[in-house]
Amino acid sequence: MIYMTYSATACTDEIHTYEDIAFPQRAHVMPDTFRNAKTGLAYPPHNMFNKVITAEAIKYVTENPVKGKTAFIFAAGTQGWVGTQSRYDKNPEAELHYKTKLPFITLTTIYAGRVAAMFRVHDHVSTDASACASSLKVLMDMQNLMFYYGFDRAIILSGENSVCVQSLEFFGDSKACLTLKDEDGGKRKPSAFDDVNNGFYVGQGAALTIFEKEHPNMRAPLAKFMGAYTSAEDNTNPLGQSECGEGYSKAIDGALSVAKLHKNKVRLVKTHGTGTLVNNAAEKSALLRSLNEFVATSYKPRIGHTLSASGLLETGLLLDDLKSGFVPKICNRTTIDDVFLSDDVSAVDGPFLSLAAGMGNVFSAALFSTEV
Amino acid sequence: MDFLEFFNRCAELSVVREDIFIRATSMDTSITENATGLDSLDGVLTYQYISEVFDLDDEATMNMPTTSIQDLKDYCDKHKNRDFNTVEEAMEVVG
Repeated sequence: MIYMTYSATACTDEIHTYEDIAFPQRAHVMPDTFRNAKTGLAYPPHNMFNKVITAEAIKYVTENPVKGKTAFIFAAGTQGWVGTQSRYDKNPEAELHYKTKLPFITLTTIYAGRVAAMFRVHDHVSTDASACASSLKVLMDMQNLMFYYGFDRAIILSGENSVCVQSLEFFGDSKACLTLKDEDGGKRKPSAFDDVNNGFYVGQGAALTIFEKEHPNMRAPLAKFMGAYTSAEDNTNPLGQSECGEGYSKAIDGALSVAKLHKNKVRLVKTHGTGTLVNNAAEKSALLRSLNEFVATSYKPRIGHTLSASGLLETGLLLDDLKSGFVPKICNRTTIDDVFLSDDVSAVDGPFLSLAAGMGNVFSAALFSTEV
Repeated sequence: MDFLEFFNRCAELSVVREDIFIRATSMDTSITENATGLDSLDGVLTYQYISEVFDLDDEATMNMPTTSIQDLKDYCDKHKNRDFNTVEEAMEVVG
């Protein structure tokens, strides 16, 4: 049995508006993480990750060794965080325009190695570049390490440099996020599975999550990990999704199979829930096809799309909310909906499903249970 | 500015393994892994922080000495384009 024993998250509902870029838009940011970013040394992810790489987590891992091996996996979403692309590099005075002085510190592998050293991990260090699915995708890797390779603990750090000029322009250019133009003077707000409001703001976020097999000094588990699966689908466009939701369905069915769980048992879903029209269609179709009775929520309309961190970060938020006794509504819904929630409902016990999707045709599903 | 304290503060900002890091207690300390516990990447980051504080140009940054902290101080004094009165003020630049 694998348990989630630690979850630290960093995200914000604070919104800033960036008008000095090609695709003006709002983003959820933590201003203190950008301290000295312009020097190119105090790099934003470094400051952001310090919010979740806590002394408590390091102490727990280093002072409570496990019998088997320990893995450190960095769900980074990409191999390098920031670069300059001529298409977007138009305004060097832009608030979020910065260049790093030491290019190698933007390589996610370098950062992974450094953080793994903090945790004294020397059995396995890896990084993952599965874009926005990254933090749930690596659960399939974690599961394999635990099942087949003698690992008893996996430390998963997730997050990336989501709020920088390059990232905001990329999402604006590809019409993925909600720009000021799309908002149409406030007529449209971020939401998911809604006919009026849709789309997302990009958001900063990070999560540190620890999974372990049971051991004598194990912390009280937050959740039981039941199984994870990552699938692709038959789609030629690696930036898009098939509206029929084939990828999501295959991921959900795969996770149910690994967990040996009947679909009737899953009554709660943390959706990927970006709110884009294509994701609304794809994810809704898949859920209605692969599950029976359930309620679904999305955190992105509240905290923004934290990209690679989103899967595990939002799972951590859901566990916090369940502990507080409720499943949160999807913000800015305009119609009453008791499935894709327009209002908070009481906490749902038992197994729940977390979903994520990433560019490159990656669809991930993970099953957890609060019954530990 | 107390350069020894300033060096230690920059090193602390860079180092991954605080348990291995050895705070320098003398200006004669050589800036090597054995003497300071800084690995090569920690060292590069430490030097970049110091370069940033004194606003050294690229060429000066590339040639910063590792023989001792005193030699590093003398070198920075010679090539610096700005200075700070206290360690706290200096660390504001990179902290």
